[in-house]
Order: sequence, then structure tokens, then C-alpha cells
Amino acid sequence: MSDPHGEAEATEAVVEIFRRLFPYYAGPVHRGLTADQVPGWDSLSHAELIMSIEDLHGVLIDPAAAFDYPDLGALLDDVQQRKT
Amino acid sequence: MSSSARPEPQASERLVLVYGNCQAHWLAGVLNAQGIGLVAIVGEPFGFYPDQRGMRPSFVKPSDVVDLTARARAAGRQVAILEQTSPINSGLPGATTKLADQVVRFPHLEVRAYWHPWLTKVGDGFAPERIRRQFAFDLAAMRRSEERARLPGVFSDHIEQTHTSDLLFNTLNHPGADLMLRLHQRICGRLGTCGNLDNPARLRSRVDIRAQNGIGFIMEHPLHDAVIDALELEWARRGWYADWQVAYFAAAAGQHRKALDLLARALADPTCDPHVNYHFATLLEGLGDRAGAVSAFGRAYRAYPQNPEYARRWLSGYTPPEMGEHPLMDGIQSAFPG
Repeated sequence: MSDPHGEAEATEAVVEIFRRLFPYYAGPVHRGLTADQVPGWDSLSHAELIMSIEDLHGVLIDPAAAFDYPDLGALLDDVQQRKT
Repeated sequence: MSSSARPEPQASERLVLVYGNCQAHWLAGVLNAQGIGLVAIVGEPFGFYPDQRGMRPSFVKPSDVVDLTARARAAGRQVAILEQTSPINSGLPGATTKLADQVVRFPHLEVRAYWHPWLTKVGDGFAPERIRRQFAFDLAAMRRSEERARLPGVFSDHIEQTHTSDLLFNTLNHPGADLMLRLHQRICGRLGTCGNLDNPARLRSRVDIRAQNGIGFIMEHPLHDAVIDALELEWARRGWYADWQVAYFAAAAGQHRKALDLLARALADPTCDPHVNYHFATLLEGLGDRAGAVSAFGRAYRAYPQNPEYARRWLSGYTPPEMGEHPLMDGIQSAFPG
């Protein structure tokens, strides 16, 4: 991947989900974001984030793996893999 | 004991700092009353003070922790940290855990599939598949929290195996006696013994946890039929819980007589939760039976005095309207946060 630091912006639709779920986070929504960097990103909103992204892309993520993603980019990569 | 040996701290020689949510706060109250040391909760109360046996652990600000631990060390005390692990957020920073002689971690137990305000946030909250999927996420979250506490599967396996047959949670994140006893046992085992009164005190705590059925209700309601059916919760279709559950939704539909009869039957069961008294009282009050409501609010408060709402409603009803607010209400408002 050509984004070793996870600085690439997420898609507009993902950014929209992010802004809705985490209104107190005003920074850029990039692939390298982690829960510790975003106010309100806890296990509750994590499940909501995953289900919202599932709805967006029409895929289902294995709940057992839902807490394994080290950052937003890893979650989006997994979704992309499931789509193809 | 040899004069040179110092194998275990006495209660007065240990400072225990507790980090976590309402489960951690409630356990801190139990451990404080147990006499394991000077117990302090780091953070703010979550709408209740965890009193046990008339004792209450103190609340300290995170910014005061360094000073507090330095003073404890200067006084020759050991410092222990109890940290509830999050499924997703990082734990306490190393700078904090380095302050302690001992760090004991324990998991966060929660079933959000029980909570409709949450379920309805994404998709159809009443669809069986949505509810079952949420439960799968809940188990995964608890498993990750357990891994971080180095207790893999200890609680989640038990929950997965028994949640259909046994009532394990009083609310989505208020575990009942079974789970709280298991948490308490693990924490005490990891903290180690403390003084020669440790065993009887620990036993007394276990009796208290069992008698209170873990953390009680703080303004909750029974599960919706959709959740009970989707998760095949057999326990919710039996005994006092089944009567309470049907009564709650009957009352909401305006079937007050049916609801009162069912609540009365639920209350005849000695294992019934004190919160049923609260709903019974609320319904009686709405129907104009002031004396009956006061009596039922009082029963709820006596059975579970940790819930400030029971005290508030009992005092409100106890005071004739012409007297205005009961003089004790001021004390209640300041004694209970939230």
C-alpha cells in the first residue's frame, strides 16, 4: 500500500459517518485514525461505526474480528476485501 | 511471624486506586467495605455513590493521583491499581501504572443487545437478526476486554453458555450476582490476601453481593419481547420476571388493572427484584393511590438503598402536598449525585 502512515483521507461517505458519530472530533478523517485519537470512539460507537460502514458497502463483518482493527484503514481494507 | 518477614500488607498500609465504569465503582464500594485498604475511585460518580455497609470509597481527580500515591509511599503504604480494561481504547498510560506496586486488570462486561435505544440506532432494532448480531458484537467486545485483562474467555464463555437459561444482567451493563461474584473472586485472588481478617471479610462481601444480586437497577425496564425471542432468553419467560415484563408493557398500553395484578403476583415471589416495587409504586401513584405508592417506594428503598431514585420518590410521596418539599430532600439531593 502506498500510504504507510495512514494519512490518506477516507471516502466522503465514511467521513460523513464519522462526523455523525463523533461530533466532537473536528480533525481530518484519515486511514491512520485510532480510537484513542477520537473523543467518543469507544466500544459502543465502534459497533455503530462498523454497522454503518457495513450498510454503506453492503457487506457483513465478522463480529469476532470487529475489535482486531488497529486503525480505521484496517477496517476499510477489510470491507474492501469482502466486497471483491 | 518472623520480625523480618513482611509478606502481606495490612489494610491500613495499602492504597487502592480504581479506574473503570459503574461496575468498577460498585466493586470499589464492596472492596472498601471489605477492608482491603484505603480505596479511592479515580474519576466522577456515575449517578450513584457505591455505599456498602455505611462506608463509601472516596472519589479523586485523575490530576491528584500522582500526589496521592507519593503521599501513600511516604507513609509506607503499598499502592495497587485496579483497572477495568476497554475492548478498544488503550489502557492507562505507563506513567500511571508505574506509580503502583501492583496493577490488577479486569474486564468490562456488557450486553448492548438488551438495550433498545441502542439497537434502534442502526437498522431495524426489532429485527431478530439485528439483535443476534449485536449480541455477537457484545461477546466479541467482552472477549477483547478479557484478553487485555489476561483473563481470556473467563466470563464471555460463561455468558455465552448460560445467558439463555439464567438472568445474568440486571441492565445492559449492571451484572447480577453470578458475574459480580466471579469478578470479585478474580480481583481478590490477584490482589492477594490482606491482613488476618481477610477471609471472613471476603466471605462477608460475597454474601453482600449475592444478597444484592450484584448491581441493581438504576431506572431501567424489562426486556422487549423482540430481544427475549431473538436471543431465546428462557429465564425471561418464567416467574416474577415474566410477570413484570408483561405488566410493564401492559401499563404502557393503558391496561392498568392487568398490570397491577401481574406486578402484585411478581412481588409475591421473594426472589423478585426491588425494582418491581418501584414500578408498582409508580403505577399506584398514577392511579391516585398515594398511600399504596408510598409503601411500595419504601419497600424498594429498603430492599436496595443504593438507588437514590427510590429515596427521592419515597420522600416525595411521604410528604403531604401542603407541606411542600420534605426537609430531608435537601440531604438526599446532596448525598446522591445525578
